[in-house]
Amino acid sequence: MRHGRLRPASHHRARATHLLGQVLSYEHRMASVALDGSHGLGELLTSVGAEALGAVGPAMFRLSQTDLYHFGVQSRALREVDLAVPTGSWRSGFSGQVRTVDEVMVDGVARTLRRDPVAFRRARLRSARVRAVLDRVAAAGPWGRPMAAGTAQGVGLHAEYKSVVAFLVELDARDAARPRVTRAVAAVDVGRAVNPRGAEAQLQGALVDALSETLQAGVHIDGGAVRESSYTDFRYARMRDTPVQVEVHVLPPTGEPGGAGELGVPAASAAVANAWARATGTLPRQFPLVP
Amino acid sequence: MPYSFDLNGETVTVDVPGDAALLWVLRDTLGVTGPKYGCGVGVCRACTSHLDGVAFQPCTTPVGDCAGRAVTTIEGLADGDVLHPVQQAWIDEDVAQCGFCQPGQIMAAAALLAAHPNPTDADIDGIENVCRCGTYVRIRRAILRAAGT
Repeated sequence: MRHGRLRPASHHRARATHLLGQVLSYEHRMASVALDGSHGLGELLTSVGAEALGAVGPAMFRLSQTDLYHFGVQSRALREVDLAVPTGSWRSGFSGQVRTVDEVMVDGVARTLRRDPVAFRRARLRSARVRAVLDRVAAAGPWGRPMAAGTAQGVGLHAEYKSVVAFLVELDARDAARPRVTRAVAAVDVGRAVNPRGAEAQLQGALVDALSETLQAGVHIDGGAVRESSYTDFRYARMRDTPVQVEVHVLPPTGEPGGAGELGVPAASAAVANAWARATGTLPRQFPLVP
Repeated sequence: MPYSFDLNGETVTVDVPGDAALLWVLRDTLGVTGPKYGCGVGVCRACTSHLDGVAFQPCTTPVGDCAGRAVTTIEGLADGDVLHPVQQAWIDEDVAQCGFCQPGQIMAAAALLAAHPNPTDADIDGIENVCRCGTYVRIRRAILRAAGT
């Protein structure tokens, strides 16, 4: 941890305006430590002229962000700041942060409008494919089943790499110092799953990455130095942190093959954050949620 | 000075300092590379092997502590061509992704089942080995499958 590259820390401001139950605009501003992509992002970015632009971050950001919902006028922007911290792209790139913030905001707007988070999403999704994966996890949950106090469900959605995914998780936050995801259901439409077992494995792994960094695995800088030295204090998930029940529904083919390797992190992170918010009654504002 | 111990059913003798970590004796002196180096401080557990049948971490165990004892690495888990039930379950559940931590995971699981033939989920939660691919979901299923065989 002390001698490697770090996922760039970022700060986000998001604002939604609404009138008569409709979202009129959505604006998301992200400031981030500059992403160093010089150590090998390969064809994806060179093909869109990232080298000519001089920085990989803005090009990667533009490529990866899409509007999932009918939220009126929408804008997203990235401002990178070079702090000479060794950085690198972590699984799912900017989407892990951007889409988690977006999906936490969607839950927030739904709460403000006193709408159910799943019904609210469903009515505003732009894509039938995304609606299908949301419907699948909501049915498999099932969404809204009775949960004990201090425990809750949460959902998150994401679309990228020509694929779409939904996660529904159940989280037990009764031990505030050690919240645990107790159950997870994912539904994924990768166009056509060439290797369904492989797709399932990628979604399971993405869930573990997502619950680690959302809940407990952070890197801190103390006086200019990295605090965490090894797996002793970098709290990446162990077996005891992972849900006993995990279902991954790989949907039947809808088109040409898309990607699955990095797809799951944003939706799973968002589902965990939203479940934590509903379980604790606290809005997620800083990650990891257990500092 | 020379140290002798049983390694996967055969007696080996190595002439190394007694405080040398067993992991490096296995990997560099003896060429047994199944136990992986992850953290070097006994927390990631990628090197997990068995000492007299009990899971341990060779990266933090001096070779001198192993003299006269039985060390089993992933290379010695199968019975000839017959895989250990945990290894077979690993294949049946298609557990491995990148694979780096998997020898340690398999050795931890085999030691757990030796002590708890019918483990509960809480027993399985006691395994501390890190997997950065997040294969925990299938590891749990493979352990339960192996317990049923």
